[in-house]
Amino acid sequence: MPVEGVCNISELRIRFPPGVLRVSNITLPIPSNFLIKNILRTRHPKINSDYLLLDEKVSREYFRKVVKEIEENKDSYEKIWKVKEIFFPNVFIDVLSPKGDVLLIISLNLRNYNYYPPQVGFLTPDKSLILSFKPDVVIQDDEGRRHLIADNQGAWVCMPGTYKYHNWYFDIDRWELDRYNPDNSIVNLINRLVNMIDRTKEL
Amino acid sequence: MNESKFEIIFVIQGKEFPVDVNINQSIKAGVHKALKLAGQPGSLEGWELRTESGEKIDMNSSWRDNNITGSTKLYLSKGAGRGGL
Repeated sequence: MPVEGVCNISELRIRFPPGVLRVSNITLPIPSNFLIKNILRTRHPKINSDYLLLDEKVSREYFRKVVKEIEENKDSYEKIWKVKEIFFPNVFIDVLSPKGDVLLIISLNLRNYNYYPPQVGFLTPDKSLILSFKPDVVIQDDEGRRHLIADNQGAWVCMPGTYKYHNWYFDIDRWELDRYNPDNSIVNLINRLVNMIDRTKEL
Repeated sequence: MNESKFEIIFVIQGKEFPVDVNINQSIKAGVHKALKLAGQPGSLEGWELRTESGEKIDMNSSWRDNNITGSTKLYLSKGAGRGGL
């Protein structure tokens, strides 16, 4: 049970999921006046180390396919977006203004791909997570939606093919049925993400 | 080539698909041809056509309406889709 404030406990037992550590229970002696706060974990909630659901070898194999798809198609979009950096399990994509300046960076985390869709967020050009947007940089769709979920850790994309969307709409819109849809290929996903952004507006 | 006709290169999923169009023709006719060439025939629902600078083009208008009067490259991809706030 989450506890906040001064509490009267003498030890804390943490249970890790199997595979994270060889020993799954650790007992920590703690001071009697130790302050325990309920930690808000809304960033990458299932991609943190305690939610590495997919075997890394499998994840790396899918990641290899993703990188191949990007390499084969990126030249067609060189004046719209370009690869900034790729290192497992991350892909960073520079989104360019019509003048060629970097407006922002799309961050794709594929650690659990394709068991889960990529976790997609935006970074500023200096690599910090964006906490506030110019309100008009993200284009509303025909129904007035911006396809973003903002929290105190950043802004996360919520549209089909991204983790935030399928985690939220899980029961009615399952990723398992959508993950091989061509619309959700990585290059198509990147283009759909770029289409959300008014590239004429500098951040 | 007749001056009212020119070639549009549609970029779909990283591949280029050249299509001959007529300046007075509805843009969606050219889009249909490009999608057919790309092996994705069918409804245009969800598809968005944009210029290199990101301007969205109304597919129900003509090439002339959009001042597209010569060969150019346009980008065809899906929109954001469902969800969001």
